[in-house]
Amino acid sequence: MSESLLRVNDLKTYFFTAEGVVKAVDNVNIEIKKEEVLGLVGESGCGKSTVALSVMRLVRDPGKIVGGEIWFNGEDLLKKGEGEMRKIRGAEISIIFQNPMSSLNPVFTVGSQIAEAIKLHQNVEKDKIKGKVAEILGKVGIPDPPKRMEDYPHEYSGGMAQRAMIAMALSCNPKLLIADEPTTNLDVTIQAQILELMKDLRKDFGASILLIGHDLGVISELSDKIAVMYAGKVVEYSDLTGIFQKPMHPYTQALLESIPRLDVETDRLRIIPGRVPRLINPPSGCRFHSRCEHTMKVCTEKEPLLTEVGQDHMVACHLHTSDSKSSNRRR
Amino acid sequence: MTKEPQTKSERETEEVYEPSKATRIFIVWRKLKISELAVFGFGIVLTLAVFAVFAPIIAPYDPNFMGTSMRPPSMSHFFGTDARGRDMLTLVFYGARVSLYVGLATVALEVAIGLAIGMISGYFGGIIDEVLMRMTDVILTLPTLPLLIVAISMFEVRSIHMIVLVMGIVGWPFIARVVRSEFLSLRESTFVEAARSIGATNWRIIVHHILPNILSTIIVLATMDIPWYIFYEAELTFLGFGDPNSASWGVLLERGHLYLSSAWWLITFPGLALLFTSLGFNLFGDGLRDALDVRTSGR
Amino acid sequence: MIRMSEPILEIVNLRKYFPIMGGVLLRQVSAIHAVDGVSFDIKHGETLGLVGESGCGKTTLSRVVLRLIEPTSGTVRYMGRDLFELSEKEMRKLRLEMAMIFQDPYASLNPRMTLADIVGEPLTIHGLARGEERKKRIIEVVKKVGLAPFHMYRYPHEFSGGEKQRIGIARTLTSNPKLLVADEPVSSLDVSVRAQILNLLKDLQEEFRFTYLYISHDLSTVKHMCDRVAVMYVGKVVELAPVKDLYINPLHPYTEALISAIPVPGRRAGENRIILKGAVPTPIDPPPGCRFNPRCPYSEPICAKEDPKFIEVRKGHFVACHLRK
Repeated sequence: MSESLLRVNDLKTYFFTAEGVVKAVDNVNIEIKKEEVLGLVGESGCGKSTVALSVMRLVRDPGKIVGGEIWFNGEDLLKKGEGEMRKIRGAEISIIFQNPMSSLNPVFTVGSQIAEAIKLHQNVEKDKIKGKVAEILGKVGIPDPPKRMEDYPHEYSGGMAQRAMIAMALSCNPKLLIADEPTTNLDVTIQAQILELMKDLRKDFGASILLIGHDLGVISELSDKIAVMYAGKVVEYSDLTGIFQKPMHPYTQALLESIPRLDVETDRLRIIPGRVPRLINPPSGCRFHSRCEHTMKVCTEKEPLLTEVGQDHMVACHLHTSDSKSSNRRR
Repeated sequence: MTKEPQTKSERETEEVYEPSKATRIFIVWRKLKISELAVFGFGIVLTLAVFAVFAPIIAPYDPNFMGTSMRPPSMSHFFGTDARGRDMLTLVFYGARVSLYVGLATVALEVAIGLAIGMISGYFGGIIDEVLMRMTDVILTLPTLPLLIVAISMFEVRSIHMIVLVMGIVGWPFIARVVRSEFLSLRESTFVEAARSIGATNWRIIVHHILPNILSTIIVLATMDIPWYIFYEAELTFLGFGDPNSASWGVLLERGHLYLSSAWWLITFPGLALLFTSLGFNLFGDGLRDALDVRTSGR
Repeated sequence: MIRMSEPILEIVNLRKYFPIMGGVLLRQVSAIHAVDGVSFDIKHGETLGLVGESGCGKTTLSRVVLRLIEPTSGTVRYMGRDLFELSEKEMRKLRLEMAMIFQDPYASLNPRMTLADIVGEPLTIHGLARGEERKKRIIEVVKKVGLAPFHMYRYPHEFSGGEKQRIGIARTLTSNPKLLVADEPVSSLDVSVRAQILNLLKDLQEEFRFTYLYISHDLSTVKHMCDRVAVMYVGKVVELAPVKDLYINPLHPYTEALISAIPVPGRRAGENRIILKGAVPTPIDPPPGCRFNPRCPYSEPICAKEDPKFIEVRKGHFVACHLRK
């Protein structure tokens, strides 16, 4: 099952603001295979949510996709019209967001909102729709679906509302599910429930998942592969072992040492000096160079490209690309 | 705006960058300039103020000078003359004095009362709040103009100051409501909680923490209320409830409305003056709202 | 004379209920049992963590303990003095010694006050310093939290999230406090900024020997920061133990589930991870018996009838559970 489902090539999404052009996503390449989960990790402002919105072609003014290709199921989504995209959204690619309460319309019952998705994309007879809604609500673990279907979103708890969102997203059997910080707002024990649910559903529905978040633990739970983003670019890409046991990019290494972890005991956490650069005038060369301990002259001049450094392990760093090995001068 | 000092010396230095009061005002002005409409409004307001303050100097004639009556606009009388031969341009200038006084004085009164009542109501709540709010309800549900007419008619003396007083007393509920709702929400805000946690008294919280944060809202509301009161005074005068001795624009309109078809210049120019004044204050007030927001830097 | 071996804060049977009004006549129809009989001590110089999920009452507890909200019943003794018996004036003076760091750094700073005003406010309120001396003290505190005095007269919105939180911390330092309550101090901050603030809190504690009551829902951070941890569930403390004991050997079933629910970077959860059923209950009119009973995997009949007592089961390790005695 190593067929590619989604392939994003050199995606560029820029925001044209009054202050300047924010290069939120700048030459991002990611790939998700069939039935695979890709975790997209990074801090706020790194561009991960913008990548998700770009794939769905939901980027709004002043943002615009200005370059690249998004291959989904053999077709470039960037070449499609809005009408065609609407057929794809909800049916082939679905998205769930961070705050279920704001994603659900408060004046409609939960059941009717899920039914809407089904009506839009599937040819189901009217009298069978309620049954389908109850079925999917049951699959996501909502107790007593025929009754809870008639409730309004505010009558749902946080965890249940997120389950309802997942139900809505999966109701039309999409091939790709994009989950943007799906558990960030949930309590820890509820988060565990939702993660377990997503693992089960992944098996049942056979969908690929693009999981976006900033919590490395949550990402580890579900992901087969992880892409680390920084300042609009992917800086490292590998599987769990590669990222957590053999991180190669200085940012990834620093990030892992700067968070408190249950399994590691430290007295003081590692601090990444400086701060995330503004994407209006990003620094030349590698975007991380001003905060990196290993900066070399080439890092300030040339942008490192994602290169393969091992089995399924790619890094965008001059420390690990061939030209740097010859000129290893410290700055 | 730099966030972190970039150099080590900046971090170590005891030197402090302290912007003066003048700088703060300059920043407000710079933000105001962003909106051309706001600047236009400010220009009108400024012009009006100049007319009012310097009327005796810039008016071409003495207001009581009576020349040929009912002359249409001409080179010697830009706005024509009225039934008694007085120069309309002069009268409009002098009228600005009265109208501006009415607007400012009434607003000052309504803000003074409304602020006090709104503060007490919003901060202390409970039975005080209930009683005060019922009072505002009563006044707010009654239509303003009839209410003003009734109130004015209770007095035998008709003076412009009386009109200001009555309008101020009728007008405070609106301000009080806004102040109260701002107080209610700010009272629960985290920085107020923080102030309490370091030992601030209720008085300090009201005056130092909440008030500065609603001041800009009140200034904007007040600015935009000024034309309303100028208009109300004009309406009251037009309907015969004004002070005939005050020579406000309302009085000019009242005098001139009978001659609409024959001597159009008697009401057109005072009317235009009213219109531009209202426009000016509204545009200015709008721009002021954004300019006073501490959170934008105007760059 | 207060000896250092005595606790800095003693909480005894603290309760805070919020009434819910209803009906045509607006009578009290039910109540939120936000804090429902909590008792524990905080020792001088320690960092006590208070963890729990939404609705557990940790935020309310933090406010009542500083008397920012009046309690329904119970006692809180600070250095031997009963807080709820003090007059308003005495309480205000005591606030010099007890300070709070808030969760949302932006909301906790008055947008119309400069950094200097915010940090110097305790000095102004209590008349501690004026003029040059006041300015000196402000600069001293500002530098202590890692900010440049150069920016003293700027407004909160001109600072980043991490810097705003430093301002909030500086404000607490001005009055030389002894007890600091930190309410989720890093939850609103970016991941890479959290390390800076956490390190700062530790540095300050080392230098000034503060006592921290550290409130959080993030168990990984709590493990990193705290000496002892108290776990709250629907208004009650269900377990209190030294940090290592709690994480390696949790006794209360809820604590067990909570710890096993934490996702660890680089690992998939094992087969023996505990997944609780149902939602976190709201503390409105709780049923009799143990609050955790409906979701507890080990539930016994007694659990539905009797509320378990909070007792010391091992040295320094307290639990409220019928099954762990």
